[in-house]
Amino acid sequence: MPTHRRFSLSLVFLLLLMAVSLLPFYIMVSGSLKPSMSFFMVPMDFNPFINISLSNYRAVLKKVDMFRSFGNSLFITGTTVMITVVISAMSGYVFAKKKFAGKRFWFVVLLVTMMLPRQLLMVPNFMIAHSLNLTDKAFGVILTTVHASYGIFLCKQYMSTLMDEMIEASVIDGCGEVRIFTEIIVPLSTPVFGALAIFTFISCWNDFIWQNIMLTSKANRTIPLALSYLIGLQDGVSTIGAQMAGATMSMIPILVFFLFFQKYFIKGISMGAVKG
Amino acid sequence: MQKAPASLLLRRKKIIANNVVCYLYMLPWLAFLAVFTIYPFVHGMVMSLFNVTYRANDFIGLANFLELMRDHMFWNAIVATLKMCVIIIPGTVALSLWIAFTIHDRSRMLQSSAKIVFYLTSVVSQVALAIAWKFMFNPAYGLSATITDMLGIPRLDWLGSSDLAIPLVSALVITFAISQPIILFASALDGIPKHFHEVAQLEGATHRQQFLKVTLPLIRPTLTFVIVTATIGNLQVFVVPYLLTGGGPHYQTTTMLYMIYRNAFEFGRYGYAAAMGIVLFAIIALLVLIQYRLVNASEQY
Repeated sequence: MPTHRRFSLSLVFLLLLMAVSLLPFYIMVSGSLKPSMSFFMVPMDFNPFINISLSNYRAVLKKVDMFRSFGNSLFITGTTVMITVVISAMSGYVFAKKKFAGKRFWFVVLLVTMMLPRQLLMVPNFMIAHSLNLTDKAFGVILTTVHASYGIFLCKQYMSTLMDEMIEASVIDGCGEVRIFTEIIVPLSTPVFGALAIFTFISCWNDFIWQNIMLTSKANRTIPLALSYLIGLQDGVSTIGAQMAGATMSMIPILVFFLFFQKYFIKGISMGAVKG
Repeated sequence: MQKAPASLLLRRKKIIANNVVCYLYMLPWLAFLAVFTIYPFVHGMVMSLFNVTYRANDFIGLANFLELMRDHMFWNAIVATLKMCVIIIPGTVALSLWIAFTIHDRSRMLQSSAKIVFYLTSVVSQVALAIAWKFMFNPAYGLSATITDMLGIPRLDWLGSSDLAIPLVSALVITFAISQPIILFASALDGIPKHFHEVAQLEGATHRQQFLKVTLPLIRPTLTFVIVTATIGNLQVFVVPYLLTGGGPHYQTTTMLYMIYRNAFEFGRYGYAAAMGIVLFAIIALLVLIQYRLVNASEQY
């Protein structure tokens, strides 16, 4: 049957693509466990069951302070996520449930800034950060990384689906403005906050270009910066293994996080782009 | 007679109070927007008219833009960026659509594992991936050398050859550019009611006809969204060439964002870099506008 064969062929091709996509991860993890010399063997030895050593992990910990970088990344990312979610929730609520003067105008501003590529503003943003004395400070990176337009849009989309009757009923019950938001809107919107938190976490955790510009001192290095510092080290044989060990270490928390929350990821992505 | 103005006043007061409350809710967003988006945007425009370096800050009118016109490095960067986009954008759209189409109607297991696997590359840092890629495509050892030796062909200098560097960097960008579109296409395909295809099948439509006449028109909004976001995102390729090729060989992979980065943060020419940023913004805006026009035109048809 021709159709049947076509389908199984495409399945084979799909599995092949999946394997290709996983290949860098395999190389990284098994490479991190290999002694330095095995990197220069052709054909290469990437059997993860033989010839294993932990020397690369010792080497990477000697070259860079991975744990400090972890702490830096976690602080910057965590704070950015919190600020982004709070701002997005507040503005998203207003766009979803309220009428006010200038609403249309601000919604257009929201859509434009959502589409505006952030990195185009890299140069003037850096000048501003510099004149505000925010460069080379974790706090400065946080302030300049918060970008809530996408989050507001996401929250607005979700909160629009919440029923107006609930708000009306609570107004009749004498609920004030603040209580409507904190006791009705926020608890009902946790799924969208989860999705938004995940996206913000991933993009901030992996943000290389801006952190590379903003953070210059060794003590402030985040994970991407520590890794790129390792790539830049040209001290011969031992570096490749150390780089792979560093890369593997850097991936573990984010992979655990992703595999744990992957359902929310997939839901969240479809949530944001319904009416792109 | 007396009651009307009083209630009107009350209503007006209520409206004003409501507006105040709304703007208070939006205040944090507006503050960030003003300081870190709108002000930089204006500041960038102003900067492009100045010669801003470590020492100087002089008004020079349009001199930066005139210099750009004559700067062959700048044109080179535009060409490099467009060459990559010609591979990356259609590649991303076609491959992600194909994957979504292939996993659609298969077991839940396969669907979710494919989504997870293809999403992994955009979850981890591109810096970490670059470490593996650098090893895989090294000319002297690693994966590429192993494979070429096995096939008995000469070893390839992927990152150092002008014929291979652009296709390779583009292909590597595609591996993480497809993650989000796959999920978007998959949920768009799930949204098509089954009986549409059943009717088409009864009418005797082939698979290809079904895809072109039923599936594609129904997922057009998603398709537009994916094309536009892919364009915006991939005109700004930076990290992969920065870490993998250093913009080489012969500046073949020095993209526009890379040029901006170098001029500002390596050469200290901030005003000139700001002018480049404006040109890149204009190119992105123009391409997105053209895409919207094309999509709308074909929709009428």
